[in-house]
Amino acid sequence: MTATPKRRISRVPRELPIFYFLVALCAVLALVTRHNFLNAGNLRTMGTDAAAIGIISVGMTAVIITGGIDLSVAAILALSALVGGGFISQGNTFVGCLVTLATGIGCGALNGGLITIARMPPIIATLGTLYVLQSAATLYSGGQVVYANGHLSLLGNGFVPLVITLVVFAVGGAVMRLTRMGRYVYAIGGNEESARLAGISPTRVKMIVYVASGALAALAALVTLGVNNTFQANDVVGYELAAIAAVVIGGTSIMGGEGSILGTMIGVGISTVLRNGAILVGLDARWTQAVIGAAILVAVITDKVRRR
Amino acid sequence: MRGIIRVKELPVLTLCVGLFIFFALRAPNFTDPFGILDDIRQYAAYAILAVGLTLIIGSGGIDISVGSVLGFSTILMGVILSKSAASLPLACLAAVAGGTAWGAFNGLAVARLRLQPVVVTLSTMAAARGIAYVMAGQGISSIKLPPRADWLAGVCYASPAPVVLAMLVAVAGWLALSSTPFGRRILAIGSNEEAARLSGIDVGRMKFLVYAITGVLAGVAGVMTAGMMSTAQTDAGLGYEFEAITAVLIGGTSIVGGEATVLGSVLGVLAAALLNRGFGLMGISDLWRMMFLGVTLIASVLLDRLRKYVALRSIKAQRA
Repeated sequence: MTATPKRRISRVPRELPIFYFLVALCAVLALVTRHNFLNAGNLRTMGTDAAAIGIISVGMTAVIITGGIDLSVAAILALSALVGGGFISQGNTFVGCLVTLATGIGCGALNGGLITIARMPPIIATLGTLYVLQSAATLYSGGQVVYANGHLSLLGNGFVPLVITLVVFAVGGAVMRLTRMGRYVYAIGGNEESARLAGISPTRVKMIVYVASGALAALAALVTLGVNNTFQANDVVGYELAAIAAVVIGGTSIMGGEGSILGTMIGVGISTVLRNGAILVGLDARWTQAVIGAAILVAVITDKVRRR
Repeated sequence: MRGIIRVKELPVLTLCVGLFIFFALRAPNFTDPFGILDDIRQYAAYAILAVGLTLIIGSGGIDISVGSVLGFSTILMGVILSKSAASLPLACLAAVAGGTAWGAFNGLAVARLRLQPVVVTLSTMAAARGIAYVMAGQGISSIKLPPRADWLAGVCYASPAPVVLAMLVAVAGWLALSSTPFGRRILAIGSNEEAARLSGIDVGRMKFLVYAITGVLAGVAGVMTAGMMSTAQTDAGLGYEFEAITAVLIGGTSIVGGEATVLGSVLGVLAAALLNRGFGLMGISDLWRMMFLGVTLIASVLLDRLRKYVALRSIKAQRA
């Protein structure tokens, strides 16, 4: 009896193609724009630009790997920035930061509760909370701008936003790769029923993932407040789609069960470099939206082809 | 009682009647028929999108690109009219064709390449809006339609034509879904794709068709939107996908597919229109409307679960 030939398991990391793409993109830009692209100032600009979307993408990756989605992250970001920002502008910086984080965690718990306890499909639950929280943010602030009055400038200076983002990516990557919790997330996304039969509580894991997504949105709110020093309810509308785009470009399957934080990091990198490059080259910045659309499609099709 | 609770459109119908009575009592001039017609007309585009989305969601898919595709065809029409000598009907046709092309693209990607609908339409959502921006030109956010489009503006702005058109689309969608093989196949795919395939339904073709039809409808809605404002705006249709999907879900169509009601979707849009008019007349911020929609969306899904639970229990009771 001959053994069926073993399928060779590819040792090549699945993030490699998009990593090459990012490197190529940077190389082209470095050549075309000379040192306008590769200098500390522009790197700082890009790091700051990528911070908020990068931070929420980490939570989004975990959410999508469980097979869910979180459309409400940008609304959570806005609400927590405005609720906490009120304290921060009066000088109660520490209390303000705690309130911001508590708001984010509370909103995440609301999503988690709707999805796990009320068993609503994630796309509807978070579409609903997107409306509710976004309007709550605008109503709470009365459409007014909140000023951080420089109390959070520490978070927005120089390379600090980039460093915070990289730390979040590193911690997120470590949790997903090295801890039991991370493996549970993959297991639930791969097959919820078998994960449950194996003794994992999908309710608990999903709850934690949505709460984490809310908490990260609140962290992104603090960084945004630090960078801009001001915040208005409409500032981050559409960030949820940018984050989902980065996650998908990064190779995470929207069906759940597959993907990585590293991929998402590269995905955020690609969309940031594209935006930045368009401006440097003098291209209409609005082209980037079309290009990002195309990039999502290319990433998904490549993934499909790779799996055949 | 249990029979009544199983009617899918009942919650949304109750909502519409409730809103109407509430606003008739509380909001000044709410029942003025011309005012109502005027406000409902603004929602005709939503209703047209909602009909397409009902078919797609019924088949188990989703399309979040409809708002961008609407914007794309609006701008396409504006650019053609302002930069060439093309006649008005030709420009309208081109705009609808543009919408159809995006729909067909979505359909091909979902049906042939078997990609996930959320991802495909997320990418076309970004791409269609991006290309619309680029077509309009740097720094231009609205294109005034030339005088030869006045006829369209007149029809869309000063007559009930958009409402009539939306109703025709809705009736066509309702008939197609409830009493043709086409509709039954779509719902069969939505409730169990594998079973549908095994029973001989060409799943790929059906899926392609629903996305392509929705593209056509988004194109028509785009022409209508341009006509109503007599300008083509790059932001036309921005965020419409969320409101249209919300209307469909409030209307009783199930997000997991297999159950869909065009009547419910149209009532969902009507509820949004009544809410808009009522809150507007009472001077309540638009944000409360958004919040109300969000809460209603969550409540309607919870209600749907309750409905299924009751239905399941009564089946079990019969068996016992």
